[in-house]
Amino acid sequence: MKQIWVYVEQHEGQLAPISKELLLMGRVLADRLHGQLAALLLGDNIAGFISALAGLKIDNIYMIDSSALGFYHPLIFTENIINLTNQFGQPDMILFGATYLGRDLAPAVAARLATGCAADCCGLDLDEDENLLQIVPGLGGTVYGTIVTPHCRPQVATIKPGMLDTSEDLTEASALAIGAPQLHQLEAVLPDRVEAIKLIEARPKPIKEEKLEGARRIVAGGAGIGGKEGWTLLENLAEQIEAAVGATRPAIDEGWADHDLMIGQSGKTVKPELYFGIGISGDMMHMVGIKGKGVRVAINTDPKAPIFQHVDYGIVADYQELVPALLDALQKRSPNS
Amino acid sequence: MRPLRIAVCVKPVPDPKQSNTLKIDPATKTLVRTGIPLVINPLDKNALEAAIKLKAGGGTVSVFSMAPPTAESTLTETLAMGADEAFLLSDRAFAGGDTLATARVLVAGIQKQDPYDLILCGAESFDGGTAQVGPQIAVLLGLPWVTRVFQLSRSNDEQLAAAIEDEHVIRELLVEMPLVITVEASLNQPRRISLMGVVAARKKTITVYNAADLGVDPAEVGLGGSPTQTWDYFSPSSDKKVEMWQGSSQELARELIQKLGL
Repeated sequence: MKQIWVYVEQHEGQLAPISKELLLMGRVLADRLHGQLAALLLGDNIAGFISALAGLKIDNIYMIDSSALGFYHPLIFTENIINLTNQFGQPDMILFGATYLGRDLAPAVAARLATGCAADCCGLDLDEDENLLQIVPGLGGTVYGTIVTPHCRPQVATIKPGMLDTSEDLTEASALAIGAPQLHQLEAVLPDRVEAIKLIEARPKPIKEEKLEGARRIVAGGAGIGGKEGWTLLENLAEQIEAAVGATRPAIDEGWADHDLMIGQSGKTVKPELYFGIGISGDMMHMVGIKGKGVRVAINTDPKAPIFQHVDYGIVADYQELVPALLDALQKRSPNS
Repeated sequence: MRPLRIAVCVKPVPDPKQSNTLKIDPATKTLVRTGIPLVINPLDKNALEAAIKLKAGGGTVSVFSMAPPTAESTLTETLAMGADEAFLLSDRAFAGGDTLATARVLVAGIQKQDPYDLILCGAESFDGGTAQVGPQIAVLLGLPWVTRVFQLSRSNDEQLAAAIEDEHVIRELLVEMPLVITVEASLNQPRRISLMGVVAARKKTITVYNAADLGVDPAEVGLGGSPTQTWDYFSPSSDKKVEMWQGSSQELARELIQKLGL
């Protein structure tokens, strides 16, 4: 029977959103393959966390609870995943979130098992031969690519948070009768050279106000903004219409915007009611991060910019003229209109 | 402190500043690179800068790159920045390799030399962006690794202090060589190439190795040796039907406010 393993991440006892998405998607895939779904739980003092998985229709939980797993140590975590494959057999696939940990651990596990790893997937599906179709934004970000690992198992992938379709009608349809998960506990194994990585100090990152992810309105800028001054114009517009500011990678590389403002494959996934894309060409790398049925407007000087295929309203114009005119009109409008 | 032997893995990538001109050949499903100049992957420059700083006071910095012969000029750039020698791992058999097949070639090149204390890579490439080659090199070399380091300094003969951050926590680590480290852009500011560097680079060598020189199994490298394959590319379907607006800035501004309820 085909086994699907999901590496489960938690932070301070809370199930990571991506892990929940993967467990829901893993269930759908397992049912289509007439297989089983397992959650991999590695950490220190995590027994109480099992209850967080209640209701997720998991067949097996493989848990390694050890003080050696108190922080993410690449060698120890990799060795313990490999040990799970030794103990329970090679699964058909192992799915990780495209988080710091997942993007470090998944390729290492894949290399140890001489198999493939698809990075930063935004969609998963199966073909008729039961290969996992791993959808990633492709070359240059203008298209999607389908990555397949046809001759090696397990199929290893990291999946971007917020990208999978885990809508209820999909996941409920797969409601096979699954009893309570079977818990398998293992001792941690320690590889050579564990002492080569020592934790000296860990401190929580300052919690930043998440302006982008919940924003109702977003004004996003790209390379076409052209400079810091233009960026200020964009920020003024955002402030005027009570929108959060977003950016593409080129705008961030230019230093106009902070890395936290990146929308897209390498950044945030957003779901605004209104999205303004200004000076953005419309690479999939960026567009893939904009979800939902909100209204989208693009302003770009290039009528052939791909962004015009992904918006409701397109304006071929120089933003340096249009945005000041818009700010002007916004200030003049009556407050009650 | 004892001098270090440092290897830096470098990937030539299409110039990010011109990436919007990248096209895909619909027949071969590969990137059309013609006319787009190759540059050193931005984060690999940070790795090289870190290597040059760590070797101050003696030691060796060797650059390794799996690339077509046309990439030689980007390797010359690494020598002008301050690397001591460069190895271009180049063979038709390497073409189309995924991250694991690429890591195998780089590891074969690295293992052909005397052992290194430290192997540095950029955290990810600008074009592929998978961030997988660094950890996979480490696994194949049997070395520990730490990814996405944003602070790095020498602590003593055998250890380095490194800082990393995940989604929630910043961690200060003490790591022991030999190991593999991948670096973030915020680690340092890569130096600009000086005229003196360009002159010095002329006296340094770029050694080219092919598959036979490296003794790699052709079945393990390139497209054929890659566990992952790209089956197709497709344009994302969009249910959006765009309505294009025209007019003066004032007219457009009014229409925006009205239609969008601003």
